[in-house]
Amino acid sequence: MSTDKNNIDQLFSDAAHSQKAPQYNAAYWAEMNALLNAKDAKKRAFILWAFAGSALFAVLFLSLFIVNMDFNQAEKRYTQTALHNTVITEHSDVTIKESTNDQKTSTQNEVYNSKINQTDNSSLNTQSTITSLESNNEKSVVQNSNDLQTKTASGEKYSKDKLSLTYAHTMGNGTDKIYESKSAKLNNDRVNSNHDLVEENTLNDEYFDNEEVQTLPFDKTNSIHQNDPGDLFNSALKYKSNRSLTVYSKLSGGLMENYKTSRPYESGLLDLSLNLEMNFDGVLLRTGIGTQLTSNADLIVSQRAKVYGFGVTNHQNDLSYQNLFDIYIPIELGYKINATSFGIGAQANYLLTTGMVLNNYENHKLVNRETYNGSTEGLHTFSTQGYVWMEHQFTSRFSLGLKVGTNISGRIKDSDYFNQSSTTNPIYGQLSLRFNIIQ
Amino acid sequence: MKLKQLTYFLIISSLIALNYSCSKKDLPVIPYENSPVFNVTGTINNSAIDLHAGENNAFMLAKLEEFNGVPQFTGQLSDGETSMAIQIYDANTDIPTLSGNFIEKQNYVFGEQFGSTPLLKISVNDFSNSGEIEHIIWTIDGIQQTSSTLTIYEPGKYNICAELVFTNGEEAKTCNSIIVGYKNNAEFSINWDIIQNYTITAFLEAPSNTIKNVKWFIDDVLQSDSIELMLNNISNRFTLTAEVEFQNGVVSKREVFINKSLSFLNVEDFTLIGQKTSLKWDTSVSFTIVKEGKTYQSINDVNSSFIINDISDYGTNADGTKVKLLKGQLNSPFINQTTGATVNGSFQIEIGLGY
Repeated sequence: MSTDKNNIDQLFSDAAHSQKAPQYNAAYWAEMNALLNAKDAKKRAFILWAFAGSALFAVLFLSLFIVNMDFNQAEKRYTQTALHNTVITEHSDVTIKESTNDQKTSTQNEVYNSKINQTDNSSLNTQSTITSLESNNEKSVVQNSNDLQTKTASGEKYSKDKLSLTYAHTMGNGTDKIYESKSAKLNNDRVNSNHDLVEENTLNDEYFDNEEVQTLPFDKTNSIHQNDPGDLFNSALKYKSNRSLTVYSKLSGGLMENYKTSRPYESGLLDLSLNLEMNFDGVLLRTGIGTQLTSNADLIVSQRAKVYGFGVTNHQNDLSYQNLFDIYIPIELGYKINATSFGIGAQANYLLTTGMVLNNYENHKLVNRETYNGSTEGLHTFSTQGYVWMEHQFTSRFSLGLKVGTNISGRIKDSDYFNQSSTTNPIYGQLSLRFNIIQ
Repeated sequence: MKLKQLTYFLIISSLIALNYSCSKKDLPVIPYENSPVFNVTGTINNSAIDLHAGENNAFMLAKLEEFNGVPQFTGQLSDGETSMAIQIYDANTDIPTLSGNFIEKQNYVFGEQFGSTPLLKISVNDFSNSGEIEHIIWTIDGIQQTSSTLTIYEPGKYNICAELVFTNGEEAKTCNSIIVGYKNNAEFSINWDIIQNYTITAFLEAPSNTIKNVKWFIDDVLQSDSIELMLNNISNRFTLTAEVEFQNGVVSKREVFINKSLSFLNVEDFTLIGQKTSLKWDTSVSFTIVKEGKTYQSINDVNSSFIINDISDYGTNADGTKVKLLKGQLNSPFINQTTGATVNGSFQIEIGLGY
C-alpha cells in the first residue's frame, strides 16, 4: 500500500468526482420557496397580532389614566412648607403681619400662601394645634386635623384677630417648623379638614361676626416633602378599609382566530358566567363559574391509517369540530382605580360537548361525511386560557369590559390524532357586559 | 336578573348540555394499520423476487375464473413488471353442488403442463358405424371445428356436438357434455333397443353408482321419468336423451341418435369412444412467474412441492369475489417458456385466491 500523499489525495479526488453532482431542479426550488413563504406568512401574522395587541393594550392603559385623572382635586390642596427658615411658595399674593405675644415673629420669614382675614377687635387665642415636625432644615408637611397627634406649644399663642389659616412659622430657637393651626373652636367641629381654606373661613365666620373676611388666593405648591423616618408619627386617622365582595354575572362575546385558517374573524366566542369579586383596597380577586361556546371553530384533528390489503388504502378520518361548549372556572387578578379595573386572568375549561363533522377519506377521496354531536375524540377534556382584561364601571350595576387572550394549554390531544390546524392556540378578543347582582 | 334566576339558568343550561353530550353517537373506528397481507419473496433462477401488495404499486388480483367450462381459483400478485400467478383447478366438475367449491388441502399437487399433447381425440374410425360416415362436423362450445377428428388439448368440460354426414347423404346430430382432464364421479351408458312394432326400450347402465332419478327426452321433449323407457309411435329418426341424477350428486346428460329403420345410421354416445387422457387436474396447482420479460411456468416434478401452512378466508375484493389467503412454501422447477430451460424456484408465499 502506498503512503504517498498525492496518491491518497488522488483517491479522494477520484471518489468525489465519481459521484454525480446535485443537479438543479426547478421543482425543488419552487417547493422550498413555498415552504419559506408559508413560514413567513406565519411570522407576519404573529408580528401583526403582537403589534396590534400591544397597541391596543397601550391605548387601553393610557386611557385608564386619562379617565381617572381628576383635574379639580389638585386645586383643593395646598401645602405650606418651610425650608431653611423660608417657606417657598409660588405666587404668594399676600404677606401678612402677624403679632404674637410670646414670640418674635419674623415676618420676613413667614410666607403665607393663603389669604388671611385680620381684624382689630378680637384676638383669637388660637389653641394652636401644632404639629411639630422638626425637620432640621428639611421640608415637612403638616396636616390639619384634630385627630393628628398634637402638641400645644405653651407660650406660643398666636395673637391674631382672626386667624384661620395654615401657616408656617419659624420658631425662636431657629428651628424651622411648620405649623398648621386651626381655630380652637373649629377643632371640635371639624374632624377632617382637608385644608380647605375657603371652607374653614366660612365656618369661622360664625365666630367672627361682623368681621370682614377677606379671602386670599392660594396656589398649589409644587413641593412634596418627606420626613425622616424618625419624625414620622402615628396617624390617628381612622383608616377606612375598602374591602368588599361583589357577585356579578358577565356576558361576553367576541371573535377568535379560526383554528383551520388562522384568520381572526371566522370564529366566535360567547361566554356567560357568574362570578364573585373580592376587592382588597383596590386589589381585585375574582373567580366564578361560566359557560363558553366556541362557534365555527374548524378545529380539525385527524386519524390516518395505512391499511394493506389487495393494495394499500390510506384511510383518513377528519374530525372537524365546529362548536365547542365548555364550562369553566376563571381566576382573575386585577386592580381597580376608581371606576376602572384591569388585570390578568386564567380559566380552566372542561369540554362538555361538541358539534362535529366527520369526513372519511380513502386514498384522499371523500367517501363519507356525517355530523356528530357530543364527541370529544382527539380533544383534551380540560384546557386552559389566559387573558388580560379591563373593565370600566358606568353605573353601580353595569360595567363594560374588554378581554384579549389565548389558549395556554391546547385543546388537541396529540396521542391518537394529529392536528391539521393552522393554529393550535388561537387568539381571541371579547367585549363583556357585567351586571352586579349583589354588591 | 336575580341571582336565583341566573343560577337556575346556568344549572338548566348545564343539564341540557350534559344530556346532549351523553346521548352522543359512537364514532366509526378507523381501520387498524397493518403490514402487507399478500407477499411473495424468493428466488427464481437465483434472481430475487420481492412482491408486497400495496408497496411499489404491487397489487393482489384474486379471481374466480372459468377455464374451459371449469371454475379456476386464481390469484396474481404483480407490480407491473414482476408477477406471480397461481391457479388451482376445480374438482367435482360433474357435481353441480360441489363444483366451484374451493377444497382446502395441506398440499397441492402440481398440474401437468398441457397444450402440446391431445387430451381427447375422437375420429371417425372411433364410431362403430365408421364405414357409413362420410365426415363429421364437430362443434366445441358452439365453435365449429374444421376436422372430422375431434382433438382437445386442454382440460375442461366441453359441450360438443357431432354432426355426422353419412355416405348416403343423410345427416345425424347429437350433442353431449364431455369432461376432459377431470374426474368423472359417475359413469353410465344408455342401452337402447328397437323391438317389435318399432317400440323403443331404453335403460341406463351405471356399474358403480346409484341412480337417484332419470328423465327421458325424445327430440328434447320429456317422455318419461321412470328408470326404463318404452315408447312406440315415435318418429323414425329422433334423438334420445337421458338426464340422470345420481345419489352422489352427479348430474349428467347423454344423447344418442336413433334411426329406427336404418340402424347403421345411428349415432352412438361418443363420450364413451375415442382416446381420452388419464391425467387429472382436479385440485392441482400451477404457478406462472413473469420476471424481466421472461415467463416461467411451474412443472410437475418429483421435486415440486407446495406445502400449505395456513388457509384462511381473507375477505371480498372489489368485484365481490370472496378471497382466500394461502400461506405456504413453494419449491418447484419452472420452465422458461421462451427458452425451454428449466430453472429452480423457491418462495415463501402469502397469496390470495378468488373462490
